[in-house]
Formats: sequence, structure tokens, C-alpha cells
Amino acid sequence: MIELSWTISFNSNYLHLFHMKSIPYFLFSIVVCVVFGCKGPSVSYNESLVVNKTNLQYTKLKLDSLMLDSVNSSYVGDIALFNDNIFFIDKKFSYLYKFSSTGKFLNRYLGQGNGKDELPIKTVAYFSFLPNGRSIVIGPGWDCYIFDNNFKRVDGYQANWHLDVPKDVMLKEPDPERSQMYSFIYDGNIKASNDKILFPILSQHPKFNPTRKEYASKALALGEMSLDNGSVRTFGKFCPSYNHDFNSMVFCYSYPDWYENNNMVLTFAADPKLYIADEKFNIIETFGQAGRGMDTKYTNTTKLQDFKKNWFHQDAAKGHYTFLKYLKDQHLLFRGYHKSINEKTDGLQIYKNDVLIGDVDVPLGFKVAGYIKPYYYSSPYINEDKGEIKIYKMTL
Amino acid sequence: MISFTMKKNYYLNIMGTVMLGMIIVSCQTKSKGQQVADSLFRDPKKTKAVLTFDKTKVDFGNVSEDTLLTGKFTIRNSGTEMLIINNVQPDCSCTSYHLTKRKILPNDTASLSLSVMTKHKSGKIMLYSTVSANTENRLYSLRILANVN
Repeated sequence: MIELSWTISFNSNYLHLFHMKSIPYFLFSIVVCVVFGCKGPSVSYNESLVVNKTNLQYTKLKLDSLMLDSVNSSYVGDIALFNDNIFFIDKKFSYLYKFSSTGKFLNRYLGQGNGKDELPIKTVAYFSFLPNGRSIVIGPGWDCYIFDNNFKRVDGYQANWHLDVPKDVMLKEPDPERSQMYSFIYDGNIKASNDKILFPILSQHPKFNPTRKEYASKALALGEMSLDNGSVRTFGKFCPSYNHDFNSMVFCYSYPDWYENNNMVLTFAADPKLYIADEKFNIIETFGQAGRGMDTKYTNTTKLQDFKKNWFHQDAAKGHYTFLKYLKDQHLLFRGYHKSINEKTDGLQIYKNDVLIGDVDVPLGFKVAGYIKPYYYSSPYINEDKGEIKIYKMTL
Repeated sequence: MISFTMKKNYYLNIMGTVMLGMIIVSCQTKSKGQQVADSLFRDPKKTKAVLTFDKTKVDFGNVSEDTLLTGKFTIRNSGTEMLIINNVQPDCSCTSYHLTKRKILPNDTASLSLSVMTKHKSGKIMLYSTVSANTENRLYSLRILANVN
């Protein structure tokens, strides 16, 4: 895709020079096209860019917990932090509950309905605040709703995955470069900027999916959706370790987040490195250390019908990375990892710039949700039977 | 003449009393249809229908693939007004439901069955269904759990 855009760029030069009827310039442009145009900008994972810096300041952290006030909830949902408040999005009831940083219930927003301050969907798949205070809600069918700072619905559209090729044609001839081939990875996370969201993608095409050997080298790994019109762009390749080890493709997804200067940072679930890439997915930097005690002897399957079952088993049994969260104001990058089936804790790595400054044990399933001074808060631990929503908090 | 007038007044009084009584009684015992209409259009926060489930989850433990699991839930109206189940919304097309009645009188019960087909499922499954009713809480969540081997 990036190569194509460069070819178009050089072709534009070519047309301009041809109009001038300048043969030498024309020939020169052809040479330039051949030398550079076909190559395009670097999309390779250049191993020479790897940085391995460690300055461990945190090997143990004290976690406190807080319980959110009891509310009428399905107890299926997630946490979002904004403006020093904790929000709980109830994914089944479509309510957004607002709590203070100490867990005191303050207000309830949204809910199922067709009003401007309601959600016309029965289930919420994903919710996120945008940095400007607006928020986005995505339904299971990728119907998107934008709310203003007062939770009034101001926009809504269907995500456009550019389904231009007839389904029967696509089924016969899979094209890994087409966004139509992919879907959002269920239970993945969206990461929102003010004008777009970033998310991991997966192809479940019968002839092109993670049970195929060529998937690692040809598949795209990321999706980006414009918040103006819902147009989806798919891009980004898998890192080299997936090409070397077919079995690692059981964890065939990445965790991206927005980084500094419109760049993105990402980790793959079965790869110890972290990558910083620009908007065109040129890899700018590679850094990071593997987590402690991770059992990485993965097993993939070559049968699509067995993939999910195998994933469930490997997810519980094997070591893999579980989330990535970059907090811009603190310049801190958090990466979680699961060690193995016998371990009673997960691991949490903390990077400042590209230096590993912390690697600590945390409760299983731990994810960093955000920061409200002076605490870093976790994602929720929900006990549906008791009707409890618990959050861990910690200081650094 | 006087006697006739007195008798007429007497009968009118009796008729008036009977009619007044009928009006009072009819106001107090609304028809089932009127109760439903009242419940439908009343602000759910102000209704006095109260929904309680005998349980909110059924855990089937270990099951094999391609099994039909049916969890039964009893809905009781422990309030003082007609309870109306507006909607039952399973979150998976693999789940179907059967509700014995949508309108439940005070102190009455209804039965809700949620059936899940485990075909193409593996590992731990947790399937949710949302029930909406004309109560203050409005929404309720029910769960079917199993470990598909």
C-alpha cells in the first residue's frame, strides 16, 4: 500500500515533466522510479534500530484497591478515565456511569434509546474518550456514535471497510492488501486520537488466515478509522519473529497506541520488542525486553476450525503480551504480559522513553487504564455474583 | 301524590347510590387492559412493579460441544402494579428464549427459558441476555455459563 502511494507520487512527476517535453528529465524520472519508486520507503523492521536500555527502578509495587459504588449494572464493561473521574461503560445496558477518583457514584449518562443523549444500540462493543473530551461508542456491527462533552450525540455513521469487491470474488481470490479482507479483533482495544481511532485487525478468510504459513509475511496488522466519515484504512505488517516461527501466529495480533508526534507505538502479543512507527508505518525505533518467566513454546494449528479452541488453550497456558498503554503526560509506556499457566501473577513492564524502568508482578489480568494524580488506575475486576467493580491503584 | 313523589325520590336515591357505587368500584378495579396501558405509559421510575429473579445465572459446568443448554429463570412481580416484560435480548444468535407471559400481576410469576446451542463453541462460555421491564431499574442481566470440552 505504501509502495503504491510512492509510485503514484513519482508518476505525478513523470506527467509534469512529460508536459514540459523534456526527454532527459523524463529519462531521469524513469531511472528514479526504477531505483526508488519500486522500493518505496522502509517498512521493514530494521534490526539495526534496536535499542536495549534498562535502568530498573521498580521491581515491586504496592497496589491498593478501591470499590466503585454499587449501581444497577450488567457488570459487563470497562473503565475509562477522564478529567479526574472514573467512568464505567456498561456494555450490556449501554449506560455510562461516572464516579469520583475514590469510587463515589456521581452521575449516569447514555442508556438505550433513540434520544440525542441515548444510544440506539442494545450492546456497546467499544467506548473511548477522545483527547478533546468528546467520546465514541461503537456497536457490534461497527456502527459508530460520537458524543460531545455533555454526552449529546453529534454524529453517527457506519464504519466503511470499503467492501468494493463482490464477496464471491473475494472468497475465490483473497487479496491481503484490501481492508475488506479484515475485521476488528474481538476484545481488542481501540485507541482514540481526536480525529481517528487505531485498532488491531485479523483476516478470517478461509484461504488467508493465521493458520496459513504465508499469513505472517503478507497480512496487514492494523486498522485506522477516520472519525470524520468512518473510512477504514488497513496497514502495517507483522514483525519478523512471526515469519520465523509459524507457531507464534496463534497470537496473531498487536496492541497499538498513539505515541508522541503523531507516531504510534505497538507490541505484538508474541514478540518481545516494542516498535515506534510513523503514520506511514516506517519503523523509527525498536526497543524493549522480554517479560520474566514467559513460556513461549507456542503451538499453532493449520486448521481454521481448530484455531479458536487452540487459542483458548494457549492463551491460558503460554506467555504473551496482554496490553499496551502510553500515558503522554507522564511519558510512560506500560506493557502487560501473561507468564504461563502455573504462574499466579502477570507481569507489568514500565518504560520511560525507550528505557525499561520497571518490571513488576501484578494480579492476573491486570491492565493500566490511566492516571489521576497521584495514582495509576487499573482496568476493572468485576465480581458479577457480588455486584462488585474493583479497581487497583498504585503510585510510582 | 305525596306518597308517589316520596317513592320516586326514594327509588332515585337508591339508583343514584347504586350508580355512585358502580363508578367507585369501576375506578378501583381497572380492567387488565387498562392496567397494561397505565403501566406502559407511566414513567418507569414511578411504577410500583418490582421484578425479582429466583437466580440470575445458570452454570452448566463441563458440557460437550453440540449440546443444547436450557436455563430456566422464574420472574416474580413482588410489587403492587402490573409488571410488563418489554424485551428479552440475548447477546448471541446462538441463544433463544421462551417467556410464558409478558404481563405479570402482583405476586404472580412467569417462567423465562434461555436456550444455548454450544455448536462451534469451546472453552469457558458466558452468554448474557438482557431483560427490560417497566420497573425502576428497567434493565436486568441473566447469564448462562458452561465449559465446552
